[in-house]
Amino acid sequence: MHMNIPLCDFEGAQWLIFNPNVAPLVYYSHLPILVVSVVLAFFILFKGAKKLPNQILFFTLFSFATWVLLDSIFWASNRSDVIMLAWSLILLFEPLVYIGCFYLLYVLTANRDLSFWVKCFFFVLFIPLIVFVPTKYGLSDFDLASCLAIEGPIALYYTYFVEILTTLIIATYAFYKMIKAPRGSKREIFFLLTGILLLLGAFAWGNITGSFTENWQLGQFGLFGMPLFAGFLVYSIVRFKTFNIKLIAAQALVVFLWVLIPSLLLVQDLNNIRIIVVITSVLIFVLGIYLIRSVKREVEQREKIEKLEKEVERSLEIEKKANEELEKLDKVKNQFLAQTQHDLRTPLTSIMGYTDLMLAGTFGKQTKKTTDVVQKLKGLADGMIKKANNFLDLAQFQLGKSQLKLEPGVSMVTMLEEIKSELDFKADTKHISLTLEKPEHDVLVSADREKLKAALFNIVDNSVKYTQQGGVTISVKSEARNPKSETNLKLEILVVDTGIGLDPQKAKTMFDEMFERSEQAKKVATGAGIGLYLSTQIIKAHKGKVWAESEGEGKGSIFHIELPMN
Amino acid sequence: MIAVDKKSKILLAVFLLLLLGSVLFTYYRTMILLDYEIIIEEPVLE
Repeated sequence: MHMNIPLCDFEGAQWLIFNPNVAPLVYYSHLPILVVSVVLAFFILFKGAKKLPNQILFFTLFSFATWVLLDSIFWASNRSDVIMLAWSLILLFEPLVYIGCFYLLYVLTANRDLSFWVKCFFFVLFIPLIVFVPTKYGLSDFDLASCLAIEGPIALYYTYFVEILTTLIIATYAFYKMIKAPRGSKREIFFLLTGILLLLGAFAWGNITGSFTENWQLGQFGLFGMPLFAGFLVYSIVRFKTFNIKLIAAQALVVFLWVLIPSLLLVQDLNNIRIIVVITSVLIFVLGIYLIRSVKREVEQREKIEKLEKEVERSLEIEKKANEELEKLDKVKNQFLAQTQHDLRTPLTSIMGYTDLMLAGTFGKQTKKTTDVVQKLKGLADGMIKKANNFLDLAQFQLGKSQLKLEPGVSMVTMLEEIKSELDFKADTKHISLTLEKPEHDVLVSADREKLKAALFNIVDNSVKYTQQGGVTISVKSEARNPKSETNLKLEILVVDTGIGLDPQKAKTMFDEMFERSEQAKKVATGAGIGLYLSTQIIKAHKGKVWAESEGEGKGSIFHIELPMN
Repeated sequence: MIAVDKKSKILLAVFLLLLLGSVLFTYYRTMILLDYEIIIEEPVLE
């Protein structure tokens, strides 16, 4: 079959690409680059087959690798048909590298796919190549003397037109992006552009010089642009963080060196240093493995740190949003409180005012029955105002809106005397005693006078309310927790009553939450239980404690209020 | 992740088919038909 195929005047190739007649420079410039391109292409595809930039880089590198392989076949073969086929296919795959580079640059910088119409433009630009490369317009004849094909207009002009046009589009687009890009991104685009232009420049150098000077040996040097391109591309893609390229870069570099250094053995003129090349290859192999491992470890650590950083950022974002929501909610609550305060107090104050006027005779003399009813109404309205105040104070405390206005030197004896005098009438009405056992010396505390007085009043009032016989005794004890330090002095107020008493279990927790009164307590007096809970909140706000003791129902209660004296 | 629309996928499929057709036709022309002229150009002597 080979009898009819015209052959060039040198020995045929083995395995398509190996021929002793081919200058070592050709292998030196092709084989390592072919291996690196194929490894890099498949590695990138393996790392993210579904990611568009990975797919584009795969096709670009694959087209480049195909070009290098076809070029190697072209150099080694002596068969005119094989050379014609390889050369023709080179014409098809070469512009694909250029178009792939533009596509990759666009996707990486714009972070989106090219528009359909731009793709159509490149499709139409490529159609003449698809149509005419298999014809005489691609390669017309074959010159057996030089063992080269004779290029037709498509090979001589149109391929280069496509390549130059694409390069110009790349340069223009990159220039536009660099102007528009924020300061930090300019560098990334510059490196990506430089890498791509280096590759395309190096690529075009070999082809154009070969086509126009027919010195194809000179074109071999162009392929050495490939490692430069790879370096720049790798650096820029690391900056774009599109692939886990730091690792890929290390691996590609090592594979490149593994192939490059032993490939020197193919150069026949290097007999004298063959042993050095072998030793270098072994060293490069060992160091390469070490380098890959180190970079892998570093990359993993960096990824972990980045992941943690992202998590922290996300948490901060959530916290910020939650705070904003809380602030909004707080505003609504404040408005609600203010409105409720107004709505509850205003009508009650009016009722109080009118009942006072009725009792004072402003609306004429009332019958005894009417006066009694009005008195009861006044008492109920008074109770309602107190409950409303307690409820609102408690709500403010729970919302943390009620701030204590601490003043030093508040006399506890004076405060308790005032409370006693305010409750004396109530105790007298119930025919029970109310006693204040004063200490030898007055006890001074730092307190919000009004609020602390209200808290203590509630507790004493509670004892008076639930005591039917006997009485209530208030006493004050002050002691030093640590005699050497005045700062640890504490004060204890005891309110001892002979009232209905408490279940000892309930007594322990009665200040922890809104207290649910016993059936007996409900019979004795009315109340919502807010007062004691509010007292607890106020005392706690003074860094104090409050608790109750009782031996059981019907056996009276002791209320302890402990406050720091400083 | 950057999404590729359906029209682009169809365009790519058409492009790859045409490219494959072109490659196969080139193979047929050069390897089977041997449809090219053989010439022997004399080297230019300076």
